[in-house]
Amino acid sequence: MSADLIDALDLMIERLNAGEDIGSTLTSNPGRAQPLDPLLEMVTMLQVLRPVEMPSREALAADRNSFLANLNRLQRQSVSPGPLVRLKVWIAQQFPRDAIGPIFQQKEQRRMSVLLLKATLIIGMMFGSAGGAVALADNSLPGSPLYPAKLAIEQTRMSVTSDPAEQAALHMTLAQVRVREIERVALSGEVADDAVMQRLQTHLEQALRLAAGLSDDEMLGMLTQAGQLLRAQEQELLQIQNRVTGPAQEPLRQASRLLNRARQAVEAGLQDPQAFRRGQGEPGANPDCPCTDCEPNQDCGQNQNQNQNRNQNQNQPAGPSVPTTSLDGTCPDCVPAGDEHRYGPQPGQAGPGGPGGNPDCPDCVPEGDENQYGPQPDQAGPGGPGGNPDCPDCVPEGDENQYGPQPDQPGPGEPGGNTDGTCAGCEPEGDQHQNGQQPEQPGDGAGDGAPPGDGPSSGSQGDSAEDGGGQGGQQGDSSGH
Amino acid sequence: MAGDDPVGIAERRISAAQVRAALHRLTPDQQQVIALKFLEGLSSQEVADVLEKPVGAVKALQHRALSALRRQLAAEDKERVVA
Repeated sequence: MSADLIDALDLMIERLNAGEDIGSTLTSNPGRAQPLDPLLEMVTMLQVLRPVEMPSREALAADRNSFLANLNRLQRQSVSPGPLVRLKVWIAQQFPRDAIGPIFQQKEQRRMSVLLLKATLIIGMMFGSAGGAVALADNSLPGSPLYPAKLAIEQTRMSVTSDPAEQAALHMTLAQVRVREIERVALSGEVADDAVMQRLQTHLEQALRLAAGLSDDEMLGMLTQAGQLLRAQEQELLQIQNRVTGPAQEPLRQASRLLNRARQAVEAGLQDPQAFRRGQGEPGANPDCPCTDCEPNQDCGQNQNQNQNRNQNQNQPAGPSVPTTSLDGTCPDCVPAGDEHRYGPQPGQAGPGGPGGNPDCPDCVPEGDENQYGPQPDQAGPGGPGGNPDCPDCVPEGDENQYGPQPDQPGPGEPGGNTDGTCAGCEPEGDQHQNGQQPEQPGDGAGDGAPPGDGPSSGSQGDSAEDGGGQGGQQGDSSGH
Repeated sequence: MAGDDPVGIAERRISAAQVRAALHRLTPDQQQVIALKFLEGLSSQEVADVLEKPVGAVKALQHRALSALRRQLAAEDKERVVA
């Protein structure tokens, strides 16, 4: 290490401290640049260790005052809303505007509320008018322009109801509606249309049919309610009948009869649910026909005369079988439930005597009639016990089947039929089968009574009409008494 | 200036710590010369007067001290690279 190098280094350090940079310092002595350059670098690094000059007190005080002034200015110019504004905004966000009041409502929200009000009014007018039409249709009567709409609404209600129990209840409700319509029409002095009666009948039948398909508990509950409803409607119809005169009473009577038959069916169903089910589930029921238990494709209109006869016999005491499905009695050929063999009452046809057939012996049961094939009131049949009012207990010999008395219709060949009444137990010779006289059949002696084998009655062939009774078929036996 | 950015400030602080550590490993005379010359800003003559040494001796101490600092910092750089 030469003294020249040390002096050159010291000289360059002096120049660096004077403010020159390393490059310019080295260019002044390029021959020493190689060994001095790293040392000058170290001199530069040592300058980092130089203490920083502290500012004067006055300068520090001035800087502090300037800082505080800027701080005050920034506080006055707050970047966020003030506390009160923030509180209002928070309340507006947290609570509905209606609860706060119109003070926080802004212009756009008022416009939106007006739009909502308009939309509400338009929708209300649209659906309100439809609702008004529905309400008017609800109160319409048969013959009014809105009545078809009422029926369509009812049909729609029925279509959207899938539960059988609900359908049955709806049918009962609609039956009540039909009854009310009939009442209102009658009170107005007019005669209700037959179609209303048909609808009433259909609703009642459908209600019973659907009730028969329910479970035991549901069916009993349904029948109980239906019975109460039918009973109340019957009473209501009876009261209105007293207020109506003239031909307007007839629809009320018809409706009352329908309700009465439906109520009887309901009561029978409550007593014997299984028989009720069989009666309602009878095969051959045609839903399109008001006579629901008629045979398919049967023309019920062909049986009007028979229907009338049957209607006349509807006041007969009920037999042991469940009432037939049809409530109007317009289908005489229909078979009651469980009476597939037509053992039941056959209106217009003489049949064997049954319990109660004899007014003097209402409880007696003909021997051999274990199946309770039923009484045939008001229908003359072959002689039976009690056939003679003078001898109610006598049994004609050979009348093992007890084909029953035919009270009030003595005829030829009937035990006790002689006018002197002295032969109570006599039996027409050759009448072992007790084929009694046939009421309502001309006794012309030509045997043109009920054809043989028509129904259970074996009395299709009358005995001698020699006594001039003028009744009963005649075939062969002319021995008389 | 590059030294005003955070990277520059960090490098400078690291360098200052390294230089200060290297200074502590110098001899006392060298430390005195470096402190008076580069931290207090005295001239070689003033350092010589303070240390009551010849100017030549101060310059020689100055040269040896800078060379020693350079060697120590270079050695630390090599260790840092190896690590």
